[in-house]
Amino acid sequence: MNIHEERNDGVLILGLEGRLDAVSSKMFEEKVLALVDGGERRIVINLSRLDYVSSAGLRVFLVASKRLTPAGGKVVLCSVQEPVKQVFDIVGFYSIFSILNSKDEALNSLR
Amino acid sequence: MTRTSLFSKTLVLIVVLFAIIATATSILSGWNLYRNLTQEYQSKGVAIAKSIADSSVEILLNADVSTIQSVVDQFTEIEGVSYVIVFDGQGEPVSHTFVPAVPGDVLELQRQTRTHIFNGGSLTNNLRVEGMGDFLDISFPILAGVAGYVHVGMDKSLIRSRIWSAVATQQGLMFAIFLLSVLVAYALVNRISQPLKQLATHAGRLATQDFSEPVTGPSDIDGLPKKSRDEVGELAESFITMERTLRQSVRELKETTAAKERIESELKIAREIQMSMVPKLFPPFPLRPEFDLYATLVPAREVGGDFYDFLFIDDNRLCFAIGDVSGKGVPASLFMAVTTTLFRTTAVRVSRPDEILFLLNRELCRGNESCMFVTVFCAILDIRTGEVEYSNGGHNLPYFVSHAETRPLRNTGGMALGFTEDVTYRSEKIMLRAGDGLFLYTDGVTEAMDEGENQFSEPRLEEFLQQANGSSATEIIRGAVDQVRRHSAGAPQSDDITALSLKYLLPAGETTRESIVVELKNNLPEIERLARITDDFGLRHQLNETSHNVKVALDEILTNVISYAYDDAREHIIVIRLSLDQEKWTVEVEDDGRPFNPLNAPEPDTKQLLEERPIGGLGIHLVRKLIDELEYRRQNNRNILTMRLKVKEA
Repeated sequence: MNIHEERNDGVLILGLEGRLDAVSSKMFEEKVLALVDGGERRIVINLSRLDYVSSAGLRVFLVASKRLTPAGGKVVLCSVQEPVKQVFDIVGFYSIFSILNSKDEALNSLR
Repeated sequence: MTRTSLFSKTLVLIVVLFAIIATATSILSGWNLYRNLTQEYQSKGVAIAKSIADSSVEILLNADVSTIQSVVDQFTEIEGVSYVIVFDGQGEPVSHTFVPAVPGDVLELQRQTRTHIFNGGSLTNNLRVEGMGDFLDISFPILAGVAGYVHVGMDKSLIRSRIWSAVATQQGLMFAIFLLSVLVAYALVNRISQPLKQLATHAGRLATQDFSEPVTGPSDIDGLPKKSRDEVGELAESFITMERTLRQSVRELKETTAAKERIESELKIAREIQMSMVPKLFPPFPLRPEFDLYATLVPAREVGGDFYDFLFIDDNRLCFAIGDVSGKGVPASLFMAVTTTLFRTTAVRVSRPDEILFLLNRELCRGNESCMFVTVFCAILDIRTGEVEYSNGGHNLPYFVSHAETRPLRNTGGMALGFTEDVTYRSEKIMLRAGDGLFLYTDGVTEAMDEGENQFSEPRLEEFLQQANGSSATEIIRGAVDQVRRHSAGAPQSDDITALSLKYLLPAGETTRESIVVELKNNLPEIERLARITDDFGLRHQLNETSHNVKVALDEILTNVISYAYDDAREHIIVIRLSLDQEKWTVEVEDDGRPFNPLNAPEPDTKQLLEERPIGGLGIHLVRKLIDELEYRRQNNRNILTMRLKVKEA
């Protein structure tokens, strides 16, 4: 999996590409936690190019959110594609995350 | 050539011999004759001289010369007398027969004679007179030399000519004898060399003769032993004997060779017949995808006593067997033929392996005068379920080969067939899951020896089978035979090598579309490999959406197994079976980790707020949601999770 970093008006945008499974989620988790520890508070995770996610990946989203919320931060997900969307539906992510349709919407929601 | 050289040698011998004899006898008889004649002449001469001397005394005293002359003349007519001369007391010749004058040599001799003292005897001298020849001169004194001397000359040339004529006669005789000898020798040599030549010609012809053909008419040397009862006859006799023996040997050799060839060709046919008795067409049931079967039989000699067989006894049950008849060669192969025939007819009549063996044994015992026996392993596979029921009659126990292990089947304790009628057999059952297999073999495999008489042995076979587990039945059999051959490289094959490999692929169902087995190692990157395989599988059947569900479910289960199931750090194999029929996917995950039933995990509350959500527990929740049917069982110390998913066509 590849992670693309991008910054827009104080918001960190992480673009995920490929598979987010037990192997890649470890790397992703370390990265996110390092960023949060480094002071990042507003994070958009762009999933437009994520093909696949397993529970290990879902766990990282949960971990990131749980870390940011008490610190007054927020993580927003956007542009979820079909196979991933199905998984999000099953685990009820739509009720606990703000998941928006586009990167712009996500950026606006954090401004 | 033989004759010429033999005769010429004999001729040279005869010539030399005769030359020596002729020379020796000529010299001897010539010398004898010379001596005798000389003596005779001498005594003759002495007699004449004496008589002249006696009769001359008066005459000389009376000096009647003319009377003496007539006496002298009278003696010259006697054969051999050449001359007669009478000297007076003064040494002057009184009367003689010389014409015209007395030679000087005679006068000289007279002068010497006068000094000789006679003592009443005579004196003999050899005298040579120039122009007259050689003489034997005998002188005799008249009145002791007072009245004079008489000399009588005997002609020596007469002696010589007599000797010559005698020798010539003798030589003529010798020559006649010589000629006769040559003739006789010629005849003799001919008598000996003729049969020899005949033998030589015969021997020459013999070399080019075809001894395998019968004799056409009497041989040309048949009469020889009778004709010549000598060494040549003996030679001919042994020649005839040799030829007869030779012909007989050749005929016997020809017969033996013909018999051997006949037996060999019969054995070849027997082998073909035997090989046609075991099924050789593979795959044997191309329309049955539920299993993969391959077998081989490599006889040690032309024909052997091993066999294997398999047949469907009804629509869903495959009966298969392997056997080994005691002994080798033709008797074993005949017994093998009987056994396979009986096996086929028995197998379709009764459908339990123990009963098959029971009946087979009873039939084989009947009229088994030669007390042969056969070990048989017989099994029946239900291709719908993978259940195998088997029974063993004294045969090497086949191996059960799965991803987890390679082990011999449990023995059912039956004895070999053909000993005694009242034997019963027991049967056992074993379940084959997709990917599991059975390896049936005869002791020719494990007891194959190398040049150092080391057997291939069970551990080597087990090691090979475990290694080759993922391969097809054909590859396993070929690999096993190859291993055995490599082991016994160069050493002659001591026993038939027979093996049958059966792999169960998937539960039978006419709707089955595809079935695959994947082995994974216990590390996380393997999951992505499986994901690609699953994608491909889905793509082949246009099941993209369903395959995503399978992929995620497998990911969750395997991540769990790989991360938590193993207490050690060793490598483990996890077996995944994917199969698809018209209605559903069936996915099986089998691992040898610690017992764990994922279905017992608590359901997470997905309605909970983020702050209250526990982080774990999502995986199994996903699986439950993605898969229609889940089933867990613990079997043979292994976790087996079966997932079924209704097919949604993309």
